[in-house]
Amino acid sequence: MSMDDQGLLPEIPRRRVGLRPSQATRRQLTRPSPWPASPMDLDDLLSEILLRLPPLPSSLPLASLVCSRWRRLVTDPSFIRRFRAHHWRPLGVFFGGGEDLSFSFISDPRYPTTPPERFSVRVLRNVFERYTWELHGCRHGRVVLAHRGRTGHVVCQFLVWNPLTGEAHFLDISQFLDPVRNQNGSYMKGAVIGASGDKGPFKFILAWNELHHNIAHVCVYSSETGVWGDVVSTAVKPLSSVGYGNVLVDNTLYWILFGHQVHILQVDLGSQNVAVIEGPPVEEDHWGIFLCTLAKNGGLSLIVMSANLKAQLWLWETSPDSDGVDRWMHGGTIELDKLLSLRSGEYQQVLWLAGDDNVMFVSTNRGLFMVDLESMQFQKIFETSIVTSQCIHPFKNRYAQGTALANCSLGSISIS
Amino acid sequence: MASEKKVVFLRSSDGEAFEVSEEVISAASVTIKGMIDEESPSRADTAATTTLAIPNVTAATLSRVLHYVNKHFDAAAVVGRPDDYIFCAPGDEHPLARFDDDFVDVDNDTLIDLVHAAEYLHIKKLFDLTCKAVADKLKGRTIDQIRETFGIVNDYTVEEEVEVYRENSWAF
Repeated sequence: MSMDDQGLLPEIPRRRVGLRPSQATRRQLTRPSPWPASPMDLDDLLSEILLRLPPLPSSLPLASLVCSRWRRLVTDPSFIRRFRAHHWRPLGVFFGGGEDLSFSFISDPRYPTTPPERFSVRVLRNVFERYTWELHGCRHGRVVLAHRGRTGHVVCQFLVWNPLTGEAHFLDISQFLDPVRNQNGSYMKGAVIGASGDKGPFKFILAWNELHHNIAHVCVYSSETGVWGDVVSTAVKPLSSVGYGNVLVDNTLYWILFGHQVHILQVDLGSQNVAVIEGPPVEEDHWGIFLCTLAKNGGLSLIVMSANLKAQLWLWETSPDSDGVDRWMHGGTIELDKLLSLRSGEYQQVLWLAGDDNVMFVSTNRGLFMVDLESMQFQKIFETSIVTSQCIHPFKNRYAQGTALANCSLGSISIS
Repeated sequence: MASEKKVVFLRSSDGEAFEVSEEVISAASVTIKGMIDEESPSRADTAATTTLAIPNVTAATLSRVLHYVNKHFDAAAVVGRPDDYIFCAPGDEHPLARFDDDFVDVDNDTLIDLVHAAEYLHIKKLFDLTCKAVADKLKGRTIDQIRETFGIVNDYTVEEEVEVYRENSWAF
C-alpha cells in the first residue's frame, strides 16, 4: 500500500531495506554517516522521492534518462499508477450534453468537505443557436465539446475548455467538412492532450472517417502555433467508424474503430504516423467495447462487456513466444456483477469506461456506480441513474489546485 | 515534584541526549510512540525519566528533527489548524509553510539524513516534506547536472541512451 493511498494521516510503510554492500562501503568511505546508503541508492526511498517530481508529462521521461535504475523504477506500472494518483484526483464528472450538460463533484473520502453538488454547465454562443454541445471527453484538465447541429448531424467547431481557469479555445473545423465524403463532420471525434499538464499549450486531435471510401483521417492542431498540421490518412476496413473512446499511452493516442470487427486507430503523436491495429475476437452479442490501459506499464487494453456485467479483458502485449511482436492476450474476466452485488436480471448497463484512468461507470436500478478497475474499489456517485446518455466523463485536477476550486464558485460555469 | 508535562530523552547515535515532551513526540513519531508504549508498564512505578536510544540518527540530524517536531506538533506553538496549511489559498501564507521552506533549505547530505531520520522515526509529514525537497532539487536541471548532484553513474551505452532519448523525445 502506498503512502498516499491511506488518507490524510497515513502511516509510512515499514520496510526492510536490503543494502548493497558495494554502496555501503562507498558511502562509509566518503562520509561518516550512520546510514549505510543514500536514499538515492535505495529503491524504495528513491521511488518515494521520484513520486514527488513535478506532475509534468516530461518528469518521468527525464528521470528515465538519468540511468537504467531510475528508468526501471519510473517505468514500473505500480509506480506509474502511484505517480498519477499522487498528482491528480478525480474532482467530478461531466455528463449529458446540450442543455443538460452538467458537472457534479464526486465526494472524495480523502477530502470529505468537497461539496457533493451538481452544476449545470451552459455553453453559450448566440451565433450558433441552432447547434448543441456534445461531450467528447476530458483529459489533462480540459474538456472537449463538439458543436453539433440540432437537426442533421453537422459538426461545425470544437471547444477545448479548461473549467478551472475558464480558458476556452473554439476550433473551427470547416476546412475539413464535406457533405459527401464525411457528411459534414457528423462522425468527427476530438481529443485533447496537454503536453505540459493542464496549464500551457495543448494539442487537439481530430479524427474522422469516410464511410464509403474506407479511409480514416487524423489532423493535429497545436495551440502553441495556432495551426493545424497535415491531414494524415490510413486505409480502414469497409464501414469502419471512429468511436468516442480513445486512450493515451505515452505519446500514442489509440482510438476505437467500430465496424464489422473492432479495430484501433493508432496515432503516433511524435512521428504523426497513423496505423490500424486489428482488435481481438469479439462475440457479436457483446454489451459494449471500451479501450482502457490495464496492460503492463499502463499499455493499451480493451474490455468487452457481456451480459450480466462480465468484462473480458484483452491486453495488447508482447507474449514470450511472439518474437517481440505485440498481440492481443486474454487478461481474464472481471465479474462486475459480483463486485457490485447485483442480482441476475437487475437493470445494469456500462455507460462508459474512461480508459486513461480505467474508471468505469455502471448504471443500475440502485444508482450509478463508479468502479476503479485498477483497485477494484467502487463508489455510488448518484442514488438514481441520473445519466441516461452514454456521455459521462471523469474530470481530474491536480492536488495543489484543490482549494482554488473550493474557494471559487463553480456554480456559475458558463462560457459565452 | 513531578513536572506537569512528561518528558523523554532521546539519545542520538553519537551519544547526545535531547529532551522532548512525551506528548509532542508521541503525536509526531510513530516509532517513538511505540517505544514509549513498550516502556510504560515498567515506567509506571518509577519516577525515573525515560531515555530512548535512537541509534540511527546523529545529534545534528536529531536536533533538526526535534526543531521541526516542536514547531509542527506542539499544540501551544501551532497557529490555527496545523495540517491544513497546504490547502491555504494562494497568497495566504501560513507561518508553517515559511518554516518548512527554510527547514529544507539545506545541503544535500543534511537533507538526505533528514529523509532517513523521518523514515526511521516514522514522521509522515516530515517524510513528505523532505522527499519533496529532494525531488525539487531535480527540477530545472539537466540530466548531467542530476547525475553530478547525486553522484549517479550513467550506465547507459551510447546506443541505449539514444534509444531511451528516442522513446521519450515527445516529452522534450
